[in-house]
Amino acid sequence: MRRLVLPLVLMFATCAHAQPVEPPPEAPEGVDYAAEPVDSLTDGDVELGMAAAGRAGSAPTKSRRVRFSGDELSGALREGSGDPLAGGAVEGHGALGAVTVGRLAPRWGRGLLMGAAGDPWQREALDRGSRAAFRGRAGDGVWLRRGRGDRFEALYGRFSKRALAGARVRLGRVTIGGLTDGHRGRQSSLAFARGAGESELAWDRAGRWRAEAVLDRRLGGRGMTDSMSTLEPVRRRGDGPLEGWSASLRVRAGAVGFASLAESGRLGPERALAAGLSGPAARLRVSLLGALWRFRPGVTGARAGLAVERPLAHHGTLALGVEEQHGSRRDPGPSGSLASLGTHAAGIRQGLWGEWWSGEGTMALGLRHESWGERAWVRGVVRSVTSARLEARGPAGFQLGITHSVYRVKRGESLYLPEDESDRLVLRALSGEGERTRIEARSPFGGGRMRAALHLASASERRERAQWTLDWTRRARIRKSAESHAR
Amino acid sequence: MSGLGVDLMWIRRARRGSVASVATPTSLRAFVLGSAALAVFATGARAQDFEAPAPAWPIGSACVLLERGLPASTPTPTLEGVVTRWHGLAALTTRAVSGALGWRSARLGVGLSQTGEPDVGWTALAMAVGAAGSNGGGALRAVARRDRTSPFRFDARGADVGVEIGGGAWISAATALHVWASAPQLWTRGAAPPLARPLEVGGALDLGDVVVWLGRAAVAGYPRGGRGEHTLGLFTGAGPLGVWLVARDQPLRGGLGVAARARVLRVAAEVESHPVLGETARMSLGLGGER
Repeated sequence: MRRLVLPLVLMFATCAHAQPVEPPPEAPEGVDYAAEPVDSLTDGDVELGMAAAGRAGSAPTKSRRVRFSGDELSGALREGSGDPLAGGAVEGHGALGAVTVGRLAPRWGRGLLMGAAGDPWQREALDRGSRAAFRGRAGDGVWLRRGRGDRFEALYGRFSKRALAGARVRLGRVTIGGLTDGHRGRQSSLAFARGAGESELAWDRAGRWRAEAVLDRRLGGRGMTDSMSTLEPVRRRGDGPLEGWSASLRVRAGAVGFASLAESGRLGPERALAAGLSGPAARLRVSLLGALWRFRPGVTGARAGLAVERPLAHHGTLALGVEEQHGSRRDPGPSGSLASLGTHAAGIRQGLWGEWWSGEGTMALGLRHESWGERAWVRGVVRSVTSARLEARGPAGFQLGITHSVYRVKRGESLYLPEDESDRLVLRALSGEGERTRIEARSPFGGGRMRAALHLASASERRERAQWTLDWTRRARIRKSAESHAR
Repeated sequence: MSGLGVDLMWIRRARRGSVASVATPTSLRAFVLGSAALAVFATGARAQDFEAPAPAWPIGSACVLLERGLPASTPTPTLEGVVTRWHGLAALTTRAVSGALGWRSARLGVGLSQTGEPDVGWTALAMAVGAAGSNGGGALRAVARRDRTSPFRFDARGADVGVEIGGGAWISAATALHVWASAPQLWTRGAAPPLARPLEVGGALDLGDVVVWLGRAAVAGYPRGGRGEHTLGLFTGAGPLGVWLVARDQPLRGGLGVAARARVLRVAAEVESHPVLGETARMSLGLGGER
């Protein structure tokens, strides 16, 4: 899954999987969204960060953060006025097991009770669970995990604006769990995992239920390899036509009205069917995706896409994709109208995108274009963005990056432009017509790394005030590693 | 130095009569500046003050460094003078002189340009700094403009000054494939530039004596919306001579250019037609530089 997300974090840093990105459904429409990428620390490391940000003519806002990692205690804390990522979590390991206090984003099984995926076609949530690419925030509380492979879990906290308590036990390949709010809300889960297959059945006191199963299958003998993620040619002499190909199938069914107590912002569809196919063809990596879903009677959607990536000389990559969407991509809720859904409006959307990246040594250049239309053959363009990015390396570790984007977003639509900042990925919400420039300089400073960015924007011939950010990060070792001790 | 809100009427009026048919200096200024704006509206993201007659690839002109921020791969010094008559309008002529030099991978360019008649035109002073090698290059360029009241001075009293800063970069993606991006107006201050110049990206396939290029200019803030305007070009050279053809869309139009080189001297001319606005002619005389 990280292979799907990290390239988006870095936008142009790699070109793999250049699909457009959107914030999860619980995020307000048309508002910037910040997510924290998972970046693990080595045992014994501590990282300090200070940042300031502001606009021309207004007072700056400051924020601070600290992360540390040790054998028995690790954690991450952020503080800053107006910082959507403020808060944190501390994890301790003791006789009871692993105890996490603070921000929690667990995932149980397929996520029907805890850790739901954001979009109907997603196999897994990008910000839930221990293997997620981003640190999410499903709730705040205490989470205990005990035993090998987290055989027993218990948590108590505030999720979806309500206090919840839950527990889960794993017995071999079967996991049984339950959640309660202490009143009438009670939900249970039964999950089964074997190899690349996983399934879960969840139900509540009223008898409403939801079930999901996913199966991954290697079509050739060798299946997916690590080299595929680096876009190297993976087919070898003598391989069959399906060598390196894999297929996935996900099926969901359930009763109308089932809603997770913990993930009320990610109710997801009651029924869904999704299939994926990916593998090498010649020097290409091909990915196919198809999905159908129904949130409730009358609110359905579908999506089909094809993405092709090809490695080029000078560490370059070319990625191309086409996609078609029908119907509603998110549930407007029982009282919501489809017309008010913005990017999730009912109707056809056809999109195409291309991204190219090349360069080595001191300079690299990336180009990207994405266009979405409301008629066949991407006609009637409703969203369009063209971007160019230059990365240059100078002496003494100095790096300069300039990204310039020109966009057009029709009224009622939303477009998000990913911007990689030092400690977060920001999905910048764009509307109307305009241009956006981001100039970023990075350099070693004060034993750490300084990063300064300037954002210049103009929309519909109106120049917006320049935004700036300044960030300093230093990572230090507070004690020798276990290997050093051993030596 | 504003004139983005003009329509085709300004050009039609000029064609029916003369510049003098426009009653007041203010109107005249609006006419000239507006015509310039319209010219580039019609020609996509084409350059303005330092546009030289040359194919999009290879890059060897100092004007390209100043206008699009694309530095030449070699540090060969160049000096170039350019005259452009926009859409057959004598009152809308641009004269520019530019020079570029390099040392190792560093590149520097300076230029001076005047557009329009005295009292109604403007003067532009440009500078670009960057770095380039055989596999790629990039530069930042800055242009300052000011209305002028006399043929040669840069001193219109009380006139607003406008500044724009932008840049560009190119890279050799493969042996014969070169890709570039240029955003000449990343930052603007003061009087608005006469022409909005959004992001332009393109690529050229250099097969030796034949070069084919394709470009796309995003268009922001235009009545057309976010449509792209595309350019397709073909260059072929034989010895000291070179010929190129250019086709653009929105509206569909084309151009023809020729260049000849004798030792370090280079002469080039280009004519580009427009279905409504007429022909734009460019001529240049240069010393040094590439093909």
